[in-house]
Amino acid sequence: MKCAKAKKFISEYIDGDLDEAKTSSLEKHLDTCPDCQELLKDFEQIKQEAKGLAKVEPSDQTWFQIQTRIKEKTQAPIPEPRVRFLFFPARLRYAVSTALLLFIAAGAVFIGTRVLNREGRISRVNGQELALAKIQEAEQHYKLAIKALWEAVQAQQENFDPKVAETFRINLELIDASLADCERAIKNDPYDLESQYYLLAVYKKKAELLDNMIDISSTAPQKKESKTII
Amino acid sequence: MSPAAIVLTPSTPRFGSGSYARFRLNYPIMWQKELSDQKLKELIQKSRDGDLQAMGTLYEHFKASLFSLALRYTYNYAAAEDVIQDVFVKVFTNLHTLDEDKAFVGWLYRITVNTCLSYLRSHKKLKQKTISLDDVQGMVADTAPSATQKAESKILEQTIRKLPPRLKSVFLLHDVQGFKHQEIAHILGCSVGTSKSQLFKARKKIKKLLEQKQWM
Repeated sequence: MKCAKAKKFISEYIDGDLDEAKTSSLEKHLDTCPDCQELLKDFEQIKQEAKGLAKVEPSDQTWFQIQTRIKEKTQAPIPEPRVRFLFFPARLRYAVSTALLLFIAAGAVFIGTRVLNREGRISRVNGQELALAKIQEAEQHYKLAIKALWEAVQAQQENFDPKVAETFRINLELIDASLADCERAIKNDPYDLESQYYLLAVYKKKAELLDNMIDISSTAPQKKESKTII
Repeated sequence: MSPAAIVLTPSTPRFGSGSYARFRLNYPIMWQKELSDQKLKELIQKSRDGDLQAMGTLYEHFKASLFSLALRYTYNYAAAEDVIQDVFVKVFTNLHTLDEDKAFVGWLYRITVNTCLSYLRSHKKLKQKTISLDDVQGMVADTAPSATQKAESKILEQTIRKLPPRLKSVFLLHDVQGFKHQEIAHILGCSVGTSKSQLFKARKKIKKLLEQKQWM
């Protein structure tokens, strides 16, 4: 075997990858060739040193960062924020709360004036005016709240279950019919406190219905479920 | 696609035995302990199902080996961390594309080498800061090597850095990581003959560089 060929085999020889015949031939050559012996020795030294090279660890933060990236990649895309009453603008929450308080206040005035009138402790006109003023104030707040709630319901319409949507439609029609009746009665007698009070009660019912509808649609499962990779 | 016939399981002697033991790591448990084929398969399956704990176990097992490999391509600690992050994110988010669980190790190393080469291509013009063994001394274990051994390793690190990427890949995978030529051929997508000839060239080049430094 010549040196050129032997040198090519030395690398495989130290790895134990050389077949028997070539090994035997190379070993015979090595016995007589100091150059190839030196190459063998150097290659063995390189291999030995390489095997002992330091192993280094990444920082403890690395796995945390990998985990975070995996979660980001595999998590479902964040759904569009669902419109919930609680997350409505403060203006609307204020409007509904105020309307409710005024409704209670108007009710108190309504009942109070009746009692006081019966007892003759206030004049009928003064009592009516006070009650009407409170009822109308509450009505304005309810109208504002109902307008905003209605917009929110419309924005959530695609999430409605068809059966729920139908029930909602029927209830809304009944409430709107009641509202129309009350408004007709008030038109006939603007000072009829009972009709005014019924009107307010129907507004309250409408606000509750719309609010419930938003709650139902926001807790219902979304139509489009995103598929996770892992 | 990974050939099903090749099973890549680093054998015990290459991790934590022989002369390697003198560089014992701070985290020796998973590194020195081999995963059985069954355990590896189980971890891969759980990771595929999104089990972060299983992913963590796989990460713990391979992190030092892969990070050391990445560090010897990038010679920059932060860059090697970025590479390792990319590798594991790619691996764990694409496990469903791996047909054969037994090809996992080869696939993992192939992604690592390719990510390293990709990093080198994108940072070709940027001069990388060299990281010497002194810089990583704190991360290397308690059983410190002797001053001579450290100096020799440092010189070898410097010569490995000068190897062309292809020769470096074969040398690092064979002589440092302990893979066989058949496994390297699978990882690098070349023939066994090419792997052998490139290892010969790499050793020859290292010998020449070391002679220039009068180490040999």
